[in-house]
Amino acid sequence: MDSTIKEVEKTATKDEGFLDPTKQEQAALRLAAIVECSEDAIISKDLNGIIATWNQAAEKILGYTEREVLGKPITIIIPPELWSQEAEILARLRAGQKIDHLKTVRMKKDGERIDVSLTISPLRDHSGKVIGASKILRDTSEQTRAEQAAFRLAAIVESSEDAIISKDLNGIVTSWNRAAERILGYKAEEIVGRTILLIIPPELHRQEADILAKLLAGERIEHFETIRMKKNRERLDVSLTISPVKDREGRVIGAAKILRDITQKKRLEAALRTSERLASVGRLAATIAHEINNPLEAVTNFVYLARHYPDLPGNVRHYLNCADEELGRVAHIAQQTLGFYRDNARPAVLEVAQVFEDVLSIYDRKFRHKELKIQRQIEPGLTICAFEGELKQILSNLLMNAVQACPDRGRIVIRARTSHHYLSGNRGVRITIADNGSGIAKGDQERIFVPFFTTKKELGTGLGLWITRELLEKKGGNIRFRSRTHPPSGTAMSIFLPVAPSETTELVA
Amino acid sequence: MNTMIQAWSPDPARFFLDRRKPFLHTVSKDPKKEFAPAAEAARRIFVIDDESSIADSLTEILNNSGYEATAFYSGQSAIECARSKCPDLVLSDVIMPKLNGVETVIALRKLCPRTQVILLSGQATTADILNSARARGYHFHLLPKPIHPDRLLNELAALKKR
Repeated sequence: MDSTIKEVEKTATKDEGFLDPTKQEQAALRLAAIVECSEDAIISKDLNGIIATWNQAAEKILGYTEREVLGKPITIIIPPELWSQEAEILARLRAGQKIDHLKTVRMKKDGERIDVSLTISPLRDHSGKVIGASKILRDTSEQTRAEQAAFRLAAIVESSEDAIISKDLNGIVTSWNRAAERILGYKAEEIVGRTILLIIPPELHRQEADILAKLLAGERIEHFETIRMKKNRERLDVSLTISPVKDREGRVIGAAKILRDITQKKRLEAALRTSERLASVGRLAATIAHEINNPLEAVTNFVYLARHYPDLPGNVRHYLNCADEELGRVAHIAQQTLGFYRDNARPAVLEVAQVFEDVLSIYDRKFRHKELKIQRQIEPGLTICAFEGELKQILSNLLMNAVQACPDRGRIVIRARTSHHYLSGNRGVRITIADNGSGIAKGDQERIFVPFFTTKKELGTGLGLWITRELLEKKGGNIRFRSRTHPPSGTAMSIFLPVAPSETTELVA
Repeated sequence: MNTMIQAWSPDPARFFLDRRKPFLHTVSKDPKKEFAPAAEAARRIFVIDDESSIADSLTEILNNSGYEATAFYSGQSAIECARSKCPDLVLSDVIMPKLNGVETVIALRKLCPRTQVILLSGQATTADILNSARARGYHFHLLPKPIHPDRLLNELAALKKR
């Protein structure tokens, strides 16, 4: 459009036929036709700013008819706050300067402001003197709105927490937002123009063909949970929503992909499932334990009676002793699984030394059998407020582990003293049970508190340390350990119990 | 397994459940018996359990160890018997139909204030029953089921010293 006008201007000013009245007339007609059918408003004014011509597009854009504005000052289409601008424009025109694509605001007849782009050229007479100006005014409101919308969209995309990626139908990345950079590790400049397969694990490359096929069919893919790969090849659990991007004619030309990192969510879900499974296992075990406790009591009694029957043949007595030991194991497991559910009694002030003696007495036979040396280093008069059953269970779990780890004629050291929680500083009792046994292998150390993990094969339930830790943490205590498998090998399990368990206050209240 | 059982008794269940068999006498007459006899006058113990096999076997073990134990299969029958003569100690299961162990021993205590009490239980619901008894001011010594007879005998000996 601009070039056409320039051409016309050129024709009008420099054409050789300028002096020829016919040619001049033709040129004027042509010019008038062009001006009238222009989509841009074309207005001319004199140097005082009085409107001299007004084309149809000007009527359409600004709302005034030609008749209404001819002879009126141009300021009727200029918002009052911009009147000073007009003086400036006129000054530049007088100096013979052209004003190109000035982005400004003009006012319609109804007062509505519109964004416009102005190109203003000086009009000269035959002598070349500036006598006025022609103004080409383009309504850019629509364009501005589109630009603003695009800016807003870009801002949304950039500030999104989810990765937003676009690609063409060949799977070439065409855009990559900041969240994509953060989640997937590639900078936009590293990946735009390269294949999307970079973020798809090799074993899932086939997936991409399926996705593209669906997109070509115009389908949208929503909340598709899959795995994507970071730049450092780390795998991520992601949820994808992919929509086809279409051109004006509705042809699919690419895809926009919103990728959400759900790794954390997946981990939480897995943890929840595990804990639910454990809880149901615990409930089941407790139920079974309840059911077998009574028959177990009866069988234990019968075996006891049989063992003490006089004049039993030696082998029968041996069988019965074996049966008694096996029953002891069953009883032990039943009690361990029940431990959580039983002892709802009140916490009591217990003498630590006495509790230890009670527990040690239960295992006295085992100590003698293995000829173990037990060293007690218990602070005299040390007391603790705890649930007796739980404390005994904790101590016997730890002692049994120590006994089983110890070699024959091994040594177990029991130490108990007043202490403070290493984090909270709360006062409590620290009890350490150390053995010079085989130690815990490095690989096993991180798993010893996992339920059903055991190194004792058929002898262990894999519940002891797990239950011990649960019990301690419930009470605001903790358990730590040190272990080495090479000489001098051994394990030291150290538990901390607060002087007054946190539950005491709740119970009293 | 079968051969093992047959090796020491043709019918072990009947043998142990039938307390009229001369098992007691054999033991008391036998100087080689392993049971430690209770010193002084034998203590009277009521063993209460709705499972007769447990009540019977425990009673037999206690009798073999020098106590004078009697088996009851319900709290009511034990209370009836206590009206004529108080036991020194009651060893009762907690979860029983009709009258539970805690209610039984509370009733028994009213009849016989000096009677000592040990409760036995292998069930989680015990805690609720005990808590409600505690709220009414009753505190009982509870032992877990199953309890090995050796440990039970130790407990009884310890209780006697108190």
